[in-house]
Amino acid sequence: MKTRDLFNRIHFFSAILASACLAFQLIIISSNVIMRYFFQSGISWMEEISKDVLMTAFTFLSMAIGVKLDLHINVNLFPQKTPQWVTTFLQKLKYLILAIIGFVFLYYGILLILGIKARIASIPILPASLQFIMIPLAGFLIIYDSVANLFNMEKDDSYLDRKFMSAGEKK
Amino acid sequence: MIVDRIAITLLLGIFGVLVLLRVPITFCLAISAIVTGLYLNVPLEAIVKVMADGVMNFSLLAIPFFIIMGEIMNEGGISRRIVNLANLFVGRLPGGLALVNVLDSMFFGGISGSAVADVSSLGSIVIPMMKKQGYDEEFAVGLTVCSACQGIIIPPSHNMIIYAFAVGTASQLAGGSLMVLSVGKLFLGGYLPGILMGLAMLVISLIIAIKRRYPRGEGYTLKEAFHILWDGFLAMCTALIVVGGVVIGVFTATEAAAFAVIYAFIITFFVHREVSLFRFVKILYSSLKTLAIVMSLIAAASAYGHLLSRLQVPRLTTEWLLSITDNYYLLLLLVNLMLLILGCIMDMAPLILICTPILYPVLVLKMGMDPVHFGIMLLMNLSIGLCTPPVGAALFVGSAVGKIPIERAAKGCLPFYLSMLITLILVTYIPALTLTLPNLFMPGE
Repeated sequence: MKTRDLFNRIHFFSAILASACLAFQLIIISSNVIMRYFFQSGISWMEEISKDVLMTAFTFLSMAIGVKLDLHINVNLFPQKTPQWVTTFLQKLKYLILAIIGFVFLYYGILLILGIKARIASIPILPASLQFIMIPLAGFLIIYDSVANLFNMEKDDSYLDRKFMSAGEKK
Repeated sequence: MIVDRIAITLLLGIFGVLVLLRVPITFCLAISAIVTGLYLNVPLEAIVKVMADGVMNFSLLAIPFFIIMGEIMNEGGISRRIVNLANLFVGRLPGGLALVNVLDSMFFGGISGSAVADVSSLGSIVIPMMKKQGYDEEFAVGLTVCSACQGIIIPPSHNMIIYAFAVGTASQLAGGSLMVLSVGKLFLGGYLPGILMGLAMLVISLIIAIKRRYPRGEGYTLKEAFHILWDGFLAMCTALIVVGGVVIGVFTATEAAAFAVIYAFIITFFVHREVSLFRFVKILYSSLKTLAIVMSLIAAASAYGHLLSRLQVPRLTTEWLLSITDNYYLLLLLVNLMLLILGCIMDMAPLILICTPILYPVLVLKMGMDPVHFGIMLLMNLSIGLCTPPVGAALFVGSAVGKIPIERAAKGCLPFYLSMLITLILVTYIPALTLTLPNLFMPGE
């Protein structure tokens, strides 16, 4: 399997995971409201899991997807007729900075996870480090995409769009 | 207390230079926080943790839900129904379609809360219709772009949630206790300014339409009218659930947003049934793409804000601004000018996250401005930036949808910039426009 295909699959898996986190949050928060109003009880772990685990998971996973799809917003004050070499330099600088940030997420994210010994208060069976588990994965994906762009390696940036955007489309 | 000028220069300088060099704003914030953290010997795990902690906030969960809600409604044909509803009310007046354009933005903005979503979905329906009826292209695009900015002010709007979050952070950074701004009050505060902005655009559109002899729209039969009203009512219920639920106190903003998503899901997939249930996968993915921008920004801005506070930048800015003038009205003028300029060159969400911690201590803590009033003023300023060159996102989408160059789209916006600026001045200097509804319906908050 080509490196490109392998990373496409990892990205696909991370997009599914992030979407699942979103959907799960939606379900547990709505269920909690219904239970609170109609059964005078609630899901004790709902708030902690949704804000501490699911929220960080889809934030960092979507950050990596944003890098792959070049979604993150920037300010473009350069005129349209900017020389090509300037544009190329700016692109390379961007990817270099992204690679550095990816490295910080990967390396220090792992250090952060290893340094946490506590457990999630409402579900003690789960380690508190679960909150940060997606940060190194996001870092890894950001490094790959930025390095691939930096060195003009073969990539397939429309892979995720092809997989998801046509889902459920009428023939 | 000693001020570390080198660290401040690093933090602000790296950010400023990299923004100008086209590096995405999220990563400008992150890298300047990382470099400054290294200089200050802050462990980088701590910087990464502050970023993660920044999004671990239950109120912020409303943002993904608002975005999913907008995507569902958009996918399910809400735009067409909203245009029909607006057409029913004002379509028969002179320049009917121009008025429809303003009114549907008011309705749709109230549901999606996004100016860009408004321009892309409503614009793709209304602009071709306007062109077909003989309206000038520039006018059609300019009106669509500017009217879409009401969506930021008219609730529910995820930018209001970002602002409420930023106020919480700002109050802590300023060294005070955590200020929990009522999202319900913020929602109510946006109604009158948003409607005022819409009315100003309606008047200008009407004057231009009469002057240029734009046509009236066609009428509907009673049966059609009833059908349109019912469809429109079902759509508008989404906004009612969110705003009503929060104001009455049935839901928190996050719960209301989650419920509104469930409602929108049922209406789209089980009542209208125009799209397959599998389309929800695409909806989640599209939402994720928007969230990639917003949530990453919040995470990076948290680390940046943490260092801004550590280096006392908000206090220094307060002192600097007050050294220029301590006259409240002049200060408001100064802040408005600054926000308008910044809005022209930077996007909305990053500016909310960066400017709130810096300006909140001056205007709210020192000068006693109401945080709801400050929030609406801030959002209005930045929403104007969305439709101005060189980086206005709504303007770019509008020119793409209308298939005209940016310059021509901006030319079409000119008369409406005037109406937006007049509304902004009124909202800035007449707090009652913002605070009447919140004080009336939520006096105890």
